[in-house]
Amino acid sequence: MGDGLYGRTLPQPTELDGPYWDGLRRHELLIQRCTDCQSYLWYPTEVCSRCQSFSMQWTPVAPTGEIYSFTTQYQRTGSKFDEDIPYTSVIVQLAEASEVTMGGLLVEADPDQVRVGLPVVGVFVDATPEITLLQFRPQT
Amino acid sequence: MVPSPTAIIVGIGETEISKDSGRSDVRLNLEASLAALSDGGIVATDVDGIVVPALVGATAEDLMSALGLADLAYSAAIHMGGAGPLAALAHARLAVTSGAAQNVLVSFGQNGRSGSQRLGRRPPRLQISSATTYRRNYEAVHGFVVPAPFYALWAQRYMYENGWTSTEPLAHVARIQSEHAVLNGLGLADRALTVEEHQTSRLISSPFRLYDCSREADGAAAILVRGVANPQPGDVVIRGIGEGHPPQPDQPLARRPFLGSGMPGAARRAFDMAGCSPEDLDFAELYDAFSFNVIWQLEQIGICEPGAGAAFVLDSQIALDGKLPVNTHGGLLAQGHLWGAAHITEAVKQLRGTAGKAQVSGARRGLVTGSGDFGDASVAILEVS
Repeated sequence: MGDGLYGRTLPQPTELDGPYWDGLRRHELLIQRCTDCQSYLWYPTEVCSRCQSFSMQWTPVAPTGEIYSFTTQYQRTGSKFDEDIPYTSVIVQLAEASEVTMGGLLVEADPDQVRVGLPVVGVFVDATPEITLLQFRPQT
Repeated sequence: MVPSPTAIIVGIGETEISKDSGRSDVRLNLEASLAALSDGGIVATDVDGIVVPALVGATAEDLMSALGLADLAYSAAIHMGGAGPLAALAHARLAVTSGAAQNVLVSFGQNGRSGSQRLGRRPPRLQISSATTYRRNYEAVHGFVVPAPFYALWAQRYMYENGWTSTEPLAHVARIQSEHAVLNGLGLADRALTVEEHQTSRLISSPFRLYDCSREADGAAAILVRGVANPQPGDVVIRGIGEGHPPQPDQPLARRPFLGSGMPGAARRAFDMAGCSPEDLDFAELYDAFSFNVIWQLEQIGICEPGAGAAFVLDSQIALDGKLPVNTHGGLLAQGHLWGAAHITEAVKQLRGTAGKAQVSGARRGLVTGSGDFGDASVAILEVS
C-alpha cells in the first residue's frame, strides 16, 4: 500500500493486529483483554503476558486518558513528518484501561500547553480508505 | 580440577573518530582489530574467537576472511543495540573462561556519521521479527521515527516524577563531558561547552536540546580478551560483568513500569560477580546516547539514591576531580558515538594509566555500561590485577 495523500507513515496491518485497525476504521478503539486474568494488553500480543493465557478478546475501550509523557519534535529526521515540525508525540494512559499506555500524535495543541497529566480525547483520522489512525487532542 | 581461566583484556585498538572516515565499515574494523592484536602481542591467526557486537559494521565472516582465520573455534553475534559491545565482552569472557576459545576479538566499527545508517535520520532499519511491526504500526505512525523522541519521553517522565523545573542538570552533564573530551583530544568536540550554550542551543526532541544528543561519528574500537591461569600485576581483569533486559523489551511505549530498564539488573549482577559495590569505583564510563542517560544510570546502578542524580551532577561530582569521574573521554556526547566501544577502550586506558590529560590518578577499578535497543543493558567492572 502506498502512503497516499495522508503523506505520512502508514501502518502495515498484520494478522495479529488486524482487529485493532478494523476497529479504528469504524472509529472504535479495541484493546486485547485477557478473559482469564482480565488484564488489558498492549502492544498486540499472541499470549497474555500476565498469566500466559491464549484466551484474549479485542475489547472496546474509550479513547480517552491522560498524557503520561510527551515530546515535541523540532529536528528534521528525513521522515515524512518533517513538514509537521514542530509536532508533539505523546504517551497516553487510558482512563478505562490504566495499565495501558500508548503512543499517539497530539493535535490541536500548542506545544507550550502540553504537560503530564493533561486530559486528552481521541481523534480518529481517516488517513486512507483502508487506514484510520488514532490521534489525541486536549479535552475541552 | 583445573580452575577456570581468568578473563583479561590484553589488547585494545582504535581508529580516529571523525565525521567522514573515507573508508569502509569493514576497513575501520580491520584497522582497530589489527591494532588490538598488536597491542595484545599476537598475530591474526592466534584469534580463535570473534564476538560481533552489533547488526552493523563487520560480520564475523568479514573479519575471518580478511584476517585469514581458518580455524575459528567460537563466534557469536549480539542483538542488544548500544549495549552490544559490552555484552560482547561478556560473551568473550564466557568463551575464554569456559575454554571454548583462548583469544577472542570484539570489534565495533561503523561510518555512523557519513554512512547510510545514521541513528538520527531514518532509517536505521535494524529490525527483525515482531520489531518491524512494532516500530512501524505503533510508533512510527505517531512520529517516533528516531531514538531521540523515545529517550525524550523517558526523560520527560523522569523529570515530572522528580519535580525538575529546568534541564540545567542535563546542561552540566554536557558541559563536564565536553571538558573531558577536550582533555582526551581524540574526539569530535574541540572545545568545552558552557551551561548557557547548552540551555540556548536549539531544541531537538523536547526536553532535549542539541547538546543533550550524542555526536554521530565514524570510527572503530576493538578489544582482545584472553583467558589466563594467573593474571599478572598490571593486567586488566574483567572482574564482574552482567547484562539486563527491561520488561516488554521491544515495546517501549507500553512498558510497565514506563521507566523500567535492564540497567539495575545488569549492575546487580556485575557487582555481585566482582564482589564490590559502587563506593569502590574510581571512575565510570556510562553509556550516554543522551545526557539524561547519565543521570538516570547514576541512580540505576546505585551510585546515587533514586532522585539524587541531578544534585550529584550539579555539584560536578562526575568531573575528573569529583567523587566519581564519568565519561573521562567525553563519551558519546562529546567524543563521538561508537556504540560504547570506546567506553571500553577508555576504561582500559584509565586502568593502564595511559589516558593522557584525562587520566584519573591512581585508577584501579572502573565501571563501564552499555545501553541500547530500548532498555537492554550491560555493566562491567574492570580492575587492575
